[in-house]
Amino acid sequence: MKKYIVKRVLISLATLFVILLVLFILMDLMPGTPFNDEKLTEAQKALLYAKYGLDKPLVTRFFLYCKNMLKGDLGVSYAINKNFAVSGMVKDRLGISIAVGGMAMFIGTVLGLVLGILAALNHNSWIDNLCSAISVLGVSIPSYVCALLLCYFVAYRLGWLPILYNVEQPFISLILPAIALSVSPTANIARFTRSEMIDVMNSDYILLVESKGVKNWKMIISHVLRNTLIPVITVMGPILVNLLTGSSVIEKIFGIPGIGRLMITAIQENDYNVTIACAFVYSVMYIVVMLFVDILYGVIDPRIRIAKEEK
Amino acid sequence: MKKLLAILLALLILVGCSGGGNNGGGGTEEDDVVIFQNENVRKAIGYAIDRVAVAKSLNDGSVAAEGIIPFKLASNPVTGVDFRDDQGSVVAYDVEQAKQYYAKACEELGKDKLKLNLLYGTNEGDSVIKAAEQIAYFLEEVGFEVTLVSKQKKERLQLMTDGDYDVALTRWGPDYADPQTYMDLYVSYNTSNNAGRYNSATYDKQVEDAEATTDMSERWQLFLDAEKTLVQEDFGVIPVFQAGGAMIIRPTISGIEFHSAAVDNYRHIVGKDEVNLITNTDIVYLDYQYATDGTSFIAETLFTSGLTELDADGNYKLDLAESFEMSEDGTVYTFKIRDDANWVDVNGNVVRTVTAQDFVDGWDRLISPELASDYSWWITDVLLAKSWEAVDEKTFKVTLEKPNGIFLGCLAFPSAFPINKEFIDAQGDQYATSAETILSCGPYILKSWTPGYSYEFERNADYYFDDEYTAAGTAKKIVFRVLEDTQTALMEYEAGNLDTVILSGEQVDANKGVEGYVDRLQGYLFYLSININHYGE
Repeated sequence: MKKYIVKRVLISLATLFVILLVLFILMDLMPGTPFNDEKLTEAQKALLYAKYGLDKPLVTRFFLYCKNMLKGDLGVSYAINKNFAVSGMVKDRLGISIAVGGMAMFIGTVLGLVLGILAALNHNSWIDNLCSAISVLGVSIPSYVCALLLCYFVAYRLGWLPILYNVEQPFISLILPAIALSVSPTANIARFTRSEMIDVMNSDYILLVESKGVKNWKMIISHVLRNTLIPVITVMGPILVNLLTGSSVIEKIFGIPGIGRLMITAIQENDYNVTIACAFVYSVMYIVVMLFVDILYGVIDPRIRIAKEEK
Repeated sequence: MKKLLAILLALLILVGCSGGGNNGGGGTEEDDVVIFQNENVRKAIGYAIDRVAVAKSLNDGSVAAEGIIPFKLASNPVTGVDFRDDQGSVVAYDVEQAKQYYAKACEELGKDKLKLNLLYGTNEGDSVIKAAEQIAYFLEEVGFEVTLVSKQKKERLQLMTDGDYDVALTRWGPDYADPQTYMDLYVSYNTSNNAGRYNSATYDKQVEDAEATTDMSERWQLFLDAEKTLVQEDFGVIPVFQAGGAMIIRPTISGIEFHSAAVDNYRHIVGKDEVNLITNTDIVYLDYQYATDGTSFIAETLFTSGLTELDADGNYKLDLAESFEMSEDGTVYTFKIRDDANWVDVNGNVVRTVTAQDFVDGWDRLISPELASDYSWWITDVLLAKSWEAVDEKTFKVTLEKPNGIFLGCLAFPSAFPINKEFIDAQGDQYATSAETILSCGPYILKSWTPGYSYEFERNADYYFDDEYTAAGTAKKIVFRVLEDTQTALMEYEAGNLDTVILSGEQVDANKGVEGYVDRLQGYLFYLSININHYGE
């Protein structure tokens, strides 16, 4: 197990290095520069290039960037908040995005599991149909529609919660964005849980457990749920990364200074360092979460653990 | 690992291929005739566009352009009449004539049909997208085969710089209230701005003569003539519309002064102690000698001051300068700086007094190549200053190349403001990255700035006009909330949490009758830049 984890971590590091290189090359190929502006002359652009070291060859810049990165320096922003340290910008905004995403994940997981389990336990009944209907709606309604509906009815008409994100009451003002964000994960998790659980309940080993006379609730918790959770965790990994790295649309609607919005603006503004940093953070989170999911797998499912050790 | 390398290689090949291809801004390959050098082609384009219909369809207070100089930019130095009223319209909409020119052009070029690509930006506002579609429609009515080429703004600008386009919908925001801010763009040797490479010896001479003369009415006349040459005779650029902007300002507050050719003035808002304003973009840079965008400039004119500021009508009034003297020939100005003008920090503590040397330092820093400011030319090209010096602690003397009618008004632009050099040096790279790393000498102090979220100003009790501000009931606190979404912004306005809201799309129609609705005319003039030499040189 230990050897397996070490190997996985090393592969992850190598992948990240390659991702960074690809990002760097892609940025270089992007049309335009951070300094494309009606008002700048060619001579001034050349000066700015020299000032920020962009006149150096790609390879030099890449290794310089890697070196600085190890020291925690991600360069400065060229266009969004000029001369701001990118590390600080990303840190501030990532924190908020993780808070909203975390809340959304919590709501999505709890609701999704409850809906999915309810539907599976009452397979082919009206409860199942109702849960399925809710899931289909959740998958098909875009999050911004939910966001605007929530804003209008809950915040604007009823006045129960603030319309916009407010730095002075972060928890209260993040409830609506989190609910809006959680709609699609709820639906996905519910659908997945339902179908997996139905599969598991129809399997031979559950039949065996049942015939052994194990009590119904005990069977569901320690046999059915446990086996259902394995595939569910696989889908939860990417969903979690998606939520934590921020949703540009939700951030725009609620005025949340999150990382999703930052990345979109950075791409539009050709702000190289900010784009690379955001994309890299996204990659790191994705890889870390997937690594975590893989390790968690082994913990939940002994078969996987053994298979890996045999290898 | 092998798999990974293979993927990487595949990616690189893919990227390499797409990077080398035609960017789409270029013309059709089989055409090797330089069609835009043909005057009749340009005339056909110029006559084809119903500018009134375009402006009306934008539905946000935009108006049809009558020339390359916008309305309310500058007025005749002698009579005070607006440039546009003085000149009248130099563009016309006439489909029949457009069709005739089109037919003539086809004949001369030996073609059945003329094709052109119309380049425009997709992230430059709804109005640009709508306008581009409308323009394409009008050009097709005349016979052109138009392909719309949509690009992100940065890419559009790059394509224009590279000369890789046919016709582009572009804009220019005036830097100061004088026709020169536009006329300078199209001289043949302005390789940075004259993307279409319009080249006319007559036009060049008119602009050069205008800038050389000391006779203000002759200068004015030369600019009038130059516009005619550029737009009416040569069709070198095709003006389309002047941008509007619809917003609602809470009826209980007043005093926001909009300027189409200068920074909007938010220093005199009255009606509420704490006002909450919307901004759809964040401050880019608090260093006012380096900033380039309107949002940053509005913030900067709140916490810093220049020798003058502009009143609601766009006329200068004294600010940091207590008085000034002008030499008889109008080339030497001597300013007396107020004794009670001080630099204060974020907590309102006085650091030291503002001196004449602060202006010298500021102007020196602005023009230094190391700063690479967008407005490095402000002092020499707009103010026309030749030399500047601190005569004593509070006396600042400027010598101009020649008399300059817009000199005093242009001192109100943040690029010409003073700096506290020792503070900037001490801050180093951190200068102007937060409320704590700047000093104020204006009517407000920036108390906090959360990037992407909001920034707050409080009145500067040390400001010399503070008593007058108090007497007038000027806002004690101004909060700007960064918000891009106009729908939630409108809800927030109606809920009473915001005092201004910017409208877009259907919101404009829905709110036209609402109390506080404002159709403001901005300085931006949108025009078609014609790449005269495109299709092989």
